[in-house]
Amino acid sequence: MLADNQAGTSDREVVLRCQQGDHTAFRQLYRRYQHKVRSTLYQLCGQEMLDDLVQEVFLRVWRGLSQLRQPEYFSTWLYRISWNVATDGRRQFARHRLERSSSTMTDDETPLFEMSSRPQDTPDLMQLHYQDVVQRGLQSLSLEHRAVLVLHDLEDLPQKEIGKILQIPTGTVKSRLYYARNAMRQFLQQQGVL
Amino acid sequence: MTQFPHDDDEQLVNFLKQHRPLPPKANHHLEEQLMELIRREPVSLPKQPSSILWFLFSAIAASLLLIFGSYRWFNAAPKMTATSNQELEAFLIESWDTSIGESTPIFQTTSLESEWLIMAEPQSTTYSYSHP
Repeated sequence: MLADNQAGTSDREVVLRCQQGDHTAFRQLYRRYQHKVRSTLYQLCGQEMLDDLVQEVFLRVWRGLSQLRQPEYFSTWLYRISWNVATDGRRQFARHRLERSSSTMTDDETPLFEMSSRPQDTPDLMQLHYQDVVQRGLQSLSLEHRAVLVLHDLEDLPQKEIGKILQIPTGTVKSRLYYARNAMRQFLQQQGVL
Repeated sequence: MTQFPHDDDEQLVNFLKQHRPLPPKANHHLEEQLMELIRREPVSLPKQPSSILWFLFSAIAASLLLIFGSYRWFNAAPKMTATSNQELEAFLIESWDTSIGESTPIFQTTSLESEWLIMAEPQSTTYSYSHP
């Protein structure tokens, strides 16, 4: 995705300053994108170790900025790093689960998607219920299908860009999106919310 | 009422957006922790040709220039002396005389010339490609 010019300075300018070692510019970049990164990682991996994952994404960004040849495509590059961190993170979770085999958890992804109670956010019980259902619906999808659904339908990224982020053809993005939506629809209908 | 798949998709996407799971708020110190880690990281500037490479290329170019210059200096063209001038003059005269003094040269005609001859001498039945 091409850089937008939200805060007066384009991504390109900020990235170029970061590439010169400007810490203030990096802080600006972090503040500009941390919500998107956080939200995407949360929907892909859940809340366990979410702060660590976000931190890992931005650390990799800082280390890899010197190799970024086209700063105007920073956003796409950032999502790709987020995707890599998410897949690495899930492998780590899987190892931890194996190590904690004595745990009473039966659902293998439950720790990733614990219901977050945010009384300060919204007191609406129905809203909380629907969020919980959507969360569980996402959890029921495979990571590949979930990623396409999250990036396309929740983050509003175009299919072509999703193909670049996940390094798959656009046709595969379309078919995964089709499958993911159908699976999600079925889940929501089973829950009686759609 | 039957809905088209597109409408179904739109309805689904709207529902997901409206009830998307929101991440918990970040740790207050997360940004500062990250900036602290960044400060400890060595700055990796964009890769540019290193100064060593530049020095190497400059040294090679300078050496080549030096070798070429010294070669030209030591093997400079010999100056023409009066004697060699006379010898050259004698050689030129001799070769000129030889070429003039040879038997009558045979002038070959080109195909264009021969065509011109045909047009200019329609009566002629025999013609040659060479002048007597």
